Amino acid sequence: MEELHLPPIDYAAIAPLLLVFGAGCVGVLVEAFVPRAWRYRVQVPLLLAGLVAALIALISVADKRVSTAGGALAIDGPALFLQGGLVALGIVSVLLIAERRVERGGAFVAQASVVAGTDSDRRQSSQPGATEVYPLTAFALGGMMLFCAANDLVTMFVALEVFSLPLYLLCALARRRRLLSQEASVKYFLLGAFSSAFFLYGVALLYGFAGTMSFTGLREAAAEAGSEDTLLFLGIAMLSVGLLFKAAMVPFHVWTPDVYQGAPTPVTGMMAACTKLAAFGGILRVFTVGFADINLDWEPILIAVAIATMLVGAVMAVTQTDIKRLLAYSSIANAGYVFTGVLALSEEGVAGTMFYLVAYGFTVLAAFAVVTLVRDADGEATHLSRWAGLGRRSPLFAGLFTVLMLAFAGIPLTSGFTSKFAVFSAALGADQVTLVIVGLISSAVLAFPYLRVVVLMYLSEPAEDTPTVSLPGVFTSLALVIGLVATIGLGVVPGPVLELAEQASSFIG
Amino acid sequence: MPAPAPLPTTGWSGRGELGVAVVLGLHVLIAAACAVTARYWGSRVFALGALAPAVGFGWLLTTIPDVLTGRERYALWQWAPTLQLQISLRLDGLALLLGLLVTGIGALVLLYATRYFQHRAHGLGRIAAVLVLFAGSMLALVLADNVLALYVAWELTTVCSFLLIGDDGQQREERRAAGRALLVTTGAGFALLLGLLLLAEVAGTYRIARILDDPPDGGWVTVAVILILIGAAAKSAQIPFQPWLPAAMVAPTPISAYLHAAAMVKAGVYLVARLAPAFAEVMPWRPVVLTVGVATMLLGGWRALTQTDLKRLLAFGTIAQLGFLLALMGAGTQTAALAGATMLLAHALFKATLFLTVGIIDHGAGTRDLRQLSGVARRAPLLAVTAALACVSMAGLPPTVGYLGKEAAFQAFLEPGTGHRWVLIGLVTGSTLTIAYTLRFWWGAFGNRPGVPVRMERPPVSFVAPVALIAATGVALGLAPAATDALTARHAYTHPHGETGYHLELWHGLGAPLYLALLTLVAGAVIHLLRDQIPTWRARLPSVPRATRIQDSLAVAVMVGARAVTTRTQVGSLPTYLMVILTVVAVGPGLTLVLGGEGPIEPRLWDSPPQAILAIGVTITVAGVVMVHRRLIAVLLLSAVGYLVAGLFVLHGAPDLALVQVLVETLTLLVFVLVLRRMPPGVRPTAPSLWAPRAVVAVLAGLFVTIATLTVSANHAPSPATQDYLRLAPEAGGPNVVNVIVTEFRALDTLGEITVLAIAATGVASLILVSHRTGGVPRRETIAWRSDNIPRTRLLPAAHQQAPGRRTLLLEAITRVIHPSMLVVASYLLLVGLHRPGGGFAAGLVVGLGMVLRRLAGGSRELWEITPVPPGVLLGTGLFLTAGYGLAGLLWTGDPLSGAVYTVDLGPLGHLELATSLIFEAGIAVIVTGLVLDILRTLGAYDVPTSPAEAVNAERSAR
Repeated sequence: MEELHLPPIDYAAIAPLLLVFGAGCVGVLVEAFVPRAWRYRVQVPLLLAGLVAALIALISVADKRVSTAGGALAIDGPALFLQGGLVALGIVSVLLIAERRVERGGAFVAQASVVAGTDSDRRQSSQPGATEVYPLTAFALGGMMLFCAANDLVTMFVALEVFSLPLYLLCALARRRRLLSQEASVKYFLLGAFSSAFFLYGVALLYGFAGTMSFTGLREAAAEAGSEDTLLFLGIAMLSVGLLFKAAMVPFHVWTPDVYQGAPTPVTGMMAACTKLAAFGGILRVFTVGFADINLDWEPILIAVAIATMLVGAVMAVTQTDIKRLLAYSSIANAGYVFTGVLALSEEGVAGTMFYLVAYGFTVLAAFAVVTLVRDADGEATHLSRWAGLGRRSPLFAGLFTVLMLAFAGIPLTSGFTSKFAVFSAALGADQVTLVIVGLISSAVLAFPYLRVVVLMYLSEPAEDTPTVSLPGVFTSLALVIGLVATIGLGVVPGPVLELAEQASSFIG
Repeated sequence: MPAPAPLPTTGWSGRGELGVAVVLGLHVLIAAACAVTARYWGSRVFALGALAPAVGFGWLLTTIPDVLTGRERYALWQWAPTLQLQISLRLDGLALLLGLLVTGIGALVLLYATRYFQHRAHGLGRIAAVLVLFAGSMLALVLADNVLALYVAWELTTVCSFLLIGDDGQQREERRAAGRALLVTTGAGFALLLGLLLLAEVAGTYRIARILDDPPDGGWVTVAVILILIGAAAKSAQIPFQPWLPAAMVAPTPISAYLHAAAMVKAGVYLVARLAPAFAEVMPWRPVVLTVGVATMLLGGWRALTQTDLKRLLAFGTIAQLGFLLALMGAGTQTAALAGATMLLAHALFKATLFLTVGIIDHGAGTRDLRQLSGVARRAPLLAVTAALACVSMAGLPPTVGYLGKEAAFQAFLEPGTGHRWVLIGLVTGSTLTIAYTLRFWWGAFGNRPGVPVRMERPPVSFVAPVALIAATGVALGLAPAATDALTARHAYTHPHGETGYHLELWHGLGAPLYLALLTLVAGAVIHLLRDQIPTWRARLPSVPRATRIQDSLAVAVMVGARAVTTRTQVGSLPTYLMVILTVVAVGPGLTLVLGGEGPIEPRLWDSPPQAILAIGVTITVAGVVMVHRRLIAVLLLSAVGYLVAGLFVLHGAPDLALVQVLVETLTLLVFVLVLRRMPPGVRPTAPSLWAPRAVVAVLAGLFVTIATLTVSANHAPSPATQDYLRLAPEAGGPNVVNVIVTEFRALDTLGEITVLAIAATGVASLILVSHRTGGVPRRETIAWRSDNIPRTRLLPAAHQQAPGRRTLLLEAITRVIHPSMLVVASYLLLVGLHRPGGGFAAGLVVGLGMVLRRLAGGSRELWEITPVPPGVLLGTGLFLTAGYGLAGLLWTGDPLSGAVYTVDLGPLGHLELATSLIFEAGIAVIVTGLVLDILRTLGAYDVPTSPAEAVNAERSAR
């Protein structure tokens, strides 16, 4: 029998991954061994410490460009940048998830398996939320980081499942409106399972085509065969379905509004920021490393997808009456803008895309943070009519939300402008004029619902039952401040982060 | 006079760059300071704010000698070099003119605001800070030499404007209108951005000076020009965007005076003036600009005649003047540009004066309604004179700058070759209306109205002084036409067309312009005298759709359309969502697959006729699954599909596969039955209208998968590993390759998989039981109604515990007979696994099936009665066996999971080859048994409630 040789592993390069997964594993042990009353106090610092440590580890290996673990992982510029973005956004997400001051016991239900509406469900409404969410979050974030670094199809699939499964669960854990939350989770899970199946089908076909799982091998095989090969074509198509589903691109976006609305708001924020980032990290690698040299027959299809995404997201956002659904559609349209950067298929495009993802992530997290604060007796008041006159009641938060809305609308001196500019100019550089024109039209349409919210907040008379804005706890305040500083900072002085993205824009392999 | 060919990138002497940086930076700093100090200083904070534009004004004054002699200033900073985003500024004649207005009037308005806001307590910091920021943005806008910098400043002014308008909205309608203002200008802002980007891309540079030097042409330029004009028209309140401007008048007066008269609304005119030298000849430019400008002028003037609110009167007057300016600036000749620049100067001065005057009257008299004002002139004579000076300028009478501009304007369209006689007629009519509403304004504000009480308080001189200063400037510039000419001609000469050498003069001699001016004066005065008739004239006019209404109905149409799309596509139904995804997959790649590529292989229809029969059976059964409405039947049919597929496996010569398939299918079915007991029996039937689309999508998806499978099979080649496995299997234990792979070649994988299986079983069990934490599992002792009198059998000991009605004697009897045999079969499958179909997995499944049978026959207590150990122990034992086997191999031979084969002579039964891997197989069997037991016990333990109502009932009965 042949000796098994373990491939050498560059532990320093994957230390950030190990730290996040480690935090998750320790979190599971905490659930098992620490008394219930203490778990929250142990879990939150543990997870935050794990993420901060991962961030430090990432900074210390920032110059690494290696392929490790037998070529399964590529710790290169994009991987490190995106992992850094994920950890930073993850920290903000965890801050929102850990908030317990705004709602007694936090946004999560204590015991998800208790049937909604029963006596025992009513009894648990005063109990503190489940602390399982912290290890779940850690695994989701770890999976996303792995997804961005995965250098072959199998690792990518494993990472996809590692980050998807905890998300399905997290979606179902809302404290209020539990049936809506569970419905969201089931929809997300079933459609997600379908898309994973498509992804896997694609992996199998591509393996059948190339005889290898690695992106580099795939590219070499594809360069030899040309794009006419049916296996290759079908493989790419199937793989794309899986990836586009996670990125919520039209026509695989249908789940997004329902899930965003039903999931607990901090989780929605994390999905809008982190999942989107991870999905596009994977898309970038697949399209720039895996299929880069293929004759671009499939490009028109992807351009059509990008255009449809931008337009559908924007047009549908116009009619929304629920702030979470509005943000969901806006996130769909934003996926279209990001995809514009991907389709530039250049290092400039990669840099722009990565910058966009990070900038958008901070803004969207801050926006959802504000959503968690606008409450009435029934929990979050997400219907837009309830936001009327909020500017009079709580000028500070209305002002803050206005800045975020302006950033979404792409008004200059916010990160929304610089990031849109980054992807659109990359697309222009690659002669994708149509995409840019559609992108700008879509931005103009999308500005309408954003500004409508602003107008509503300031120019409408507060109704008798206009909800109050809860005073945020330390965690939410911190998340808000980080989000706002990033939104304005990346708009006014985008230079440093853009340069970082530019330096990190070349894939290895 | 075009700029020199190689454009310098830095300041003229270094001073320019520094100066402009200091000025712009100062605006930001002072804005921040205002926001902070307003709390302590009250309205005096505006004086601090005035410092920023005042410094800017001073700085611009120092540059006049350089700029007017052609030495323009440039500055360039990198903003985000990676994006080629840079801030480049250019100070030329036009920028200087606008800059002087923006800073000069800005400083005076802010000074005025210290008085205006004296009695107000809240929001001062915000207003002051935003006003100063606005002044800075506006200055940056006119200085910007990069299309993106220009756009950035443009949007900043929009945002500032909104922040200032949204301040004091009192009435619902007005607030809605202010909201509309933001939407209209922002939406048009995107058009502008698109236009600017297109222009820059076609020109190959983002610097405006370069674009103007070497203007591109082509179809894209036409598109760009249209888009830019849309942006400019919206910003400058031109038809059809004009309604936002009167609506914006809800803002406090200093803000209206500055943003909506003197500064921001000029941005659109500025942009047109900036681009006209290069693009006036591009096709839609001149007709659009002239038509829109003249029409706006007429509409604004006409509407101003019927206003009773002085501020709204001025707002419509502003619209009219903006139309005038647009026509002049966009016409593209030197004289027109000269007139435009002069009118721009004049308008900023007189309109700011008049707005501020209205503010003072509003403060002093408490109303702006001209029907309720009387005797204001007597109480505030200085104010009346100031306003009169501005009105003279507005009416275009000498010796004011307004007169210079108006005369030049008439001259511009009188010049031979311009060929726009109708424009001239429009402008004369517009000027007539201007004179009429000017008279209406002054008489309305200052005239005596018999019977109306005089309520005006005498305004302090310091309140009127800044206003008077602005008005006096207008007269002074009129009295010094040479100076005005110097300021404005610099811009006019950048136009390549229509060099006539016309200069501003107070007296050009008798000529057509003068006669036209006299005509407008007389006609205007007549209209004013007939002012009471105007409402009746107006009533006689055919009613035209109001722009407000058009905009609103457009917005409604968009909403309705989007809502229709949303309700159609976003129904929240999972099947619909799935249909979308499947359709795309089937149609997208499917079409490509059919149309292009190699196409599928020619399929062999069947190897033997029974295959065809089975396949038809599968198809029919599947159709049945879709059609039935009862869950149980659907599940049964689904299992039938599984059995039929197993049959296909047998026919294809894969009995081991078939065996596993049958076992798994049976087990799944039974578990399904256990679960379905708790669910409502039927599913809601699909609405008939959905039948067809769903059927189509399903068939499409099926076709796609079929074709894809056939195509892919064409490319199939057995991998080298397959052949190696086939070759090596006998050596490793036996000819059953599948089992040898499981227990030998890939034993480590198997170990991992069964570990996962064990964990999954535990997880499933704990999830199902988790809501019954308090109850725990039933113990034998707790079964109250158990009677020891009834003799117990070893098989089905719990059967008699069931309610008599629920017992199935036939099933009990069969179970008693079959169950022992099943155990024998299981042992057999385990032992022969390496050679024949079977193996640990199959053995475990058969034992599990036996348990299911007993569960069904013996009731839910049966499994608790018969199993000596809990399932967890079984799972653990299985894991121990498999992992221990691996470790033993490691100890014995040094390789984990290695084994040996021994042959045992069983006499008449023949030989049995026993591999040590049998231990491994046994472990698998135990784990599978444990899994089945675990699931059965947990599913069968309780009647888990499924609906809230049931749950409530269950809890009640428990109590």
